[in-house]
Amino acid sequence: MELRNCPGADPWASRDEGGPSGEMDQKREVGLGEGRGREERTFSRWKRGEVIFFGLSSAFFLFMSFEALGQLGHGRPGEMGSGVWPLIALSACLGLSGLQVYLSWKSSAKALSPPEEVLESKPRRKELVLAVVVFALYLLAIPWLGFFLSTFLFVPAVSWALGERRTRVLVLGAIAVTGAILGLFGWFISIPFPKGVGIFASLSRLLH
Amino acid sequence: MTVHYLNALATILAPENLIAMVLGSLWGLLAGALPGISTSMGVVLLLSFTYTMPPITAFVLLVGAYLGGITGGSITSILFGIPGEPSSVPTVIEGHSLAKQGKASYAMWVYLLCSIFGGLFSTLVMILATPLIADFALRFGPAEYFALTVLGLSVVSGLSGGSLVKGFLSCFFGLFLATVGTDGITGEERFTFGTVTLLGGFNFVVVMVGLLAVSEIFLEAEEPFQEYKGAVEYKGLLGELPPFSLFKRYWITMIRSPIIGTIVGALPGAGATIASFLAYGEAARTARHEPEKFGRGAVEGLMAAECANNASTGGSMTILLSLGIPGSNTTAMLLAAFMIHGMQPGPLLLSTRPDILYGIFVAMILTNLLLLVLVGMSIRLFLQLNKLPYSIFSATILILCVVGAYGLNNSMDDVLLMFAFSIIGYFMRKFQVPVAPCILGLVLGDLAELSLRRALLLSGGSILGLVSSPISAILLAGATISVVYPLFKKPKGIRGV
Repeated sequence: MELRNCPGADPWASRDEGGPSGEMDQKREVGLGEGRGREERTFSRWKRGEVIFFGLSSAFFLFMSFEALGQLGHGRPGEMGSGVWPLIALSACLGLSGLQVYLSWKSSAKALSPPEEVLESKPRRKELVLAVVVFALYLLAIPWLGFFLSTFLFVPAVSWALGERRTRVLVLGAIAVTGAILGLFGWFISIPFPKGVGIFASLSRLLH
Repeated sequence: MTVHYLNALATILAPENLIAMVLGSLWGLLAGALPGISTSMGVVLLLSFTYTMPPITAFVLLVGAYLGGITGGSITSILFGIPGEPSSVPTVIEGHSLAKQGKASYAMWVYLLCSIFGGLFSTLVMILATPLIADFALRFGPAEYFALTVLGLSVVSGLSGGSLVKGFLSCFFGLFLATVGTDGITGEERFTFGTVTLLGGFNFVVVMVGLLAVSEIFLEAEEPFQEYKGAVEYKGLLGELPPFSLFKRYWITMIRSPIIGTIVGALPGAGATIASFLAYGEAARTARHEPEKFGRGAVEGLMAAECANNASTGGSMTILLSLGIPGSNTTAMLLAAFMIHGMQPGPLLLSTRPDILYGIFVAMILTNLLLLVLVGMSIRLFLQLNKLPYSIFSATILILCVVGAYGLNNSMDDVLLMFAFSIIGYFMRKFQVPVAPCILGLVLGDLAELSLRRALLLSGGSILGLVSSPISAILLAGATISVVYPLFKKPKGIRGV
């Protein structure tokens, strides 16, 4: 506790954010060394990620700015070319993302206070990647399998990816959600969803 | 005049008109609440049924669908975090945050009461001040529109949370996204890289759903597995109704927001989006009670956005009825309905068809009251959706997002774009870049650019032309103060979304 009250001794000491910090404080007091080590690693990774993210953003905005430069045109007095407005926006983006790279790098070096969301997060990377991959596969499968068959397979797949393990929930969820979507959007509103190819198209036509 | 209102009331209370009002409102609520169907689409789908109807019945039906759609759009925003319209983004920020804290029912009641209050307020203003508002709206030229969009964009400072740099970066990114596609003045292609998909630019819904709704699921996928926190027991009507003291506490917001909504709603092309963002930004900037809750479920923010959102309907209808100018997509459909029935809205409508004009006034008041009853009765039903297992709930939201994006143009390209924006949104939110300013930039970017270019053309390229009228000068001064003020006094704890 004394460590936390001594400015400079604790990298989190300058944090003045509101919110549910009491619980965090308790967690930190229990196993201070181990907890702080984990937080420091998390914060360090997060800051590195932030620098990379804004660095890549700067590169993107720079590339787009060159594209916009090619569209600067002049016509009647007062007429702005197609590229002027985008160039204004992109220049601002470039400047701000560059500034943010500097700020992130600086705060990383000085170990300034991290946002509380970063401290509180214990990311489940595997689940996240799995959910994103399943969602991407679902989107890719829709034109081939048809919307409803893909949806029927997607519901249990993504639920499982998100951590659901109860077989009954997975099966009933797939039937109920697909049925509701089919009834509402397929039959009632008649949105012409992709029907798929080959045998899957025939199956889709049976449904709607 | 009283005779006109009494006659109109008697007409509207006829059984066929009451049935039309209920059906129109229910359809509008459904259309507004379902992803993939916008309010204007809901009105268009009804339009074909009105050909053979008496004109007043047709307008009662269409006004019901219009008001129902605007009101229903917030239901999915609060419960699922899916904004159906750009104007619902502040509702997602605050309403969905409240729902995630287990206060879904409370948020729903606050939204409903404020929406109806905003709707009724603007209708009364419409009745009393139609000529004044119409005259004010007519004074807006390109320079004034540009100034208005700059004022709208200036609320970014209120949406930025802890970092103004990230907030403005997000806003300028949105402004850039708005430039993708065909240039509205020269017809040149910008940043399309030869693809047909990008010729029309990015659709608001695709970007919003990707940045806000899908990225939210990805972020929650990282959290430890748990049942959805929004699942709550319904305590009955009296147990859930917000106390009167809540509205008394935020009375300034309750008065200011509908005024903003009505005035901004009366400006063609501006409408509900600028209105709800401006009202929300003002509430965030001037919050005296619990400013730290903005971005994490501030009831004041929800009240401001919903009051302004629904109040914009009255403003929009005002210029349609008094000048014949449609202020939004939906009122453009209503203009088409007038033409289908052989009428032309405008200054002459009062003398040629007072029955229709006063009938619409009365129908708008009664529809707002009807919506209070309809949505109030179904809140319990809506809340049942929150009792789904978390994983199934998330899967359902993802599917609704796909349906919403696909339903816009029946194209998988929009769905894939939505997926791309969900990845961008995930990283933006991961690194504390608020996404709301990006959506604001995207929505206002087109109007801002076109207004600026037109204003410069009119002034022969002189920047001074932008501040030559008092309205634009005042609006630009307001925007400058709005941006500069937080640099010196930033409210603590406000978190961007």
